[in-house]
Amino acid sequence: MASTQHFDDSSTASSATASVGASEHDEICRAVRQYVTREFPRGAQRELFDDDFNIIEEGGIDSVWLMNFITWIEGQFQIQLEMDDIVPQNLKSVRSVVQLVIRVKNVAER
Amino acid sequence: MLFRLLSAAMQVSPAHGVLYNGSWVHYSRIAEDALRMAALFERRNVQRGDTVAVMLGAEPWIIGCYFACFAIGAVAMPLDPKYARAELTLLLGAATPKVLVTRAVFADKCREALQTAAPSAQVCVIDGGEGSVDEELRKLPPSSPISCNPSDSAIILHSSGSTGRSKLIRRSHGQIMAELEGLQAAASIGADDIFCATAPLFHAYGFGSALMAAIHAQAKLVIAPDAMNAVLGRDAMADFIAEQRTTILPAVPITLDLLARSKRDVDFSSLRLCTSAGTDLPESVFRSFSSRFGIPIRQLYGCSEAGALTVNMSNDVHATWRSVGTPLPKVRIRIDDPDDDGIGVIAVNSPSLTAGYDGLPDVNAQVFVDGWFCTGDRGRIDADGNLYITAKRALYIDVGGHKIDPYEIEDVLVAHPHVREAAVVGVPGRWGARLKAVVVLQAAATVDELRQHCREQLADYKVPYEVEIRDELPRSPLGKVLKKYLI
Repeated sequence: MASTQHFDDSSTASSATASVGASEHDEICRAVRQYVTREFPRGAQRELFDDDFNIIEEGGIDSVWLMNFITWIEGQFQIQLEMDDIVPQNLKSVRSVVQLVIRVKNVAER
Repeated sequence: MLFRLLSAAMQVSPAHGVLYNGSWVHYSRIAEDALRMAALFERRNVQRGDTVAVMLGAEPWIIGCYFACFAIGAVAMPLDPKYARAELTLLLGAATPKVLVTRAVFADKCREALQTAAPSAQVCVIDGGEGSVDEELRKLPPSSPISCNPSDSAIILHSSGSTGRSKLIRRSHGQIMAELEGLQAAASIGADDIFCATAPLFHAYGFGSALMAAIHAQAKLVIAPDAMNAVLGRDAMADFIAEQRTTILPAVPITLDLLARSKRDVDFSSLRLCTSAGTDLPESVFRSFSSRFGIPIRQLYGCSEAGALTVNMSNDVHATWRSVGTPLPKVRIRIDDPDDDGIGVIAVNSPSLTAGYDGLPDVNAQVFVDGWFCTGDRGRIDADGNLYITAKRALYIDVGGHKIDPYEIEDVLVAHPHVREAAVVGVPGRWGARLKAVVVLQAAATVDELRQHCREQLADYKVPYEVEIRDELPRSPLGKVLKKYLI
């Protein structure tokens, strides 16, 4: 099969490291911010985005959006989210998603 | 005819109504609002048989708009608020409504779609801003309901809609009454029941099996909070169902799955009927829900063309849970061209069945024959009369509870000038599938460009999660795309 191109940006996928360092933190943050900005539902006020923007309360996102987001997070950062992880406080903003990813990666590395 | 259901509900059960956002809206209030809305429609020259498009979420005003239409013989056309402008343009162009009712947040895309689809249609915004009818509604004296005939159209539903393939499905007052009478008899629904609406009220299932079934039975209807976001709202939804002492829960499998995964210690002992429809019920969901809450999920089978057709009310549902049950009263099911295992195409005959699709005589001649509708689904009937669905019509992909026609997305992709061919499949995921498109280009285009193109034409949930560009699509010797090699 010839050239393939996927939506997932594998260039930012993190390889396993003993713990998440500052540069990897920045990479995760950049990737999550990029995803949320690009995928935000139509009509959202993109200019309001900062890392604490509440994408759940203010974004009008639905279950499919969330499922795609969760799938992307798992694929992008090579982690497995449990149902306990999939709660509003972990997915409400770019900052909270980054913290979730780092926590799950750190647990996986132990 | 259908308006009388609301009149009867407010008279027989004056304390009953709809629970929305923590407050009860009694049926008498909904009836009054509906008749004011009906007066507003009449002011805008809506006459018997005219279409009124309604783009609202699960809220009392969508009920008010339905019953406003029923009161004056107009035809309600519900629209998914998530539709993109291109989808709306096609649907509104086919239905040419006189009026469109919506909220301010959706008004701009509705106006843009109507510019080409139905330029003379008027947009009524119920919550302020341009086109607001808030003040006018408050001042208008209520209209008087007219007497509708059973054959008068009441509602126009539609199959998936961004391309020329979408079909408008018109159902009459009499057809909807027939569905409601069948459901009530089969499930012994009464005024003491409390329905919980989790499915959208603009789809056939939420409309017929929750909203209309509740009002027909003069029962209460509680609208689940955050119904559009069941993933994160699963705990709140579980609490709500328990706190409201819900007795009947029509839902889709993903909602039931999420409820079963909730960590809340809830008491669902009030629940006596929990139905699943729309897509296959996974065994894991049936088992986990049963063991968690002590109530079996009963499968219901229906379609937009006829509403609910069968429901599994078996006394031994643990043995027959895979079945969608037996036909509702007055519904007949036939298996055409059965193979050696008795599996064939499911045909249905029902007083709830539409007379046909709008403006598609050739299609109608093929699928509506002698009062029977060929569903295209395949199944078998066992010795006890239980229907089992073995394959759904077309290749709908279940994405988070939405049934998505892959052809609709393929058509949108191929309409991109740089795309030669496209095929869309569902990649199995945690809940149902996620959409993947495989495209062959005839000129350079990036994945982001193609997804943006889809985003402009389609509701967000129909935009492929993944797009893969290949040199060619895998095909059989006869030229058929082999979708299994696309996943």
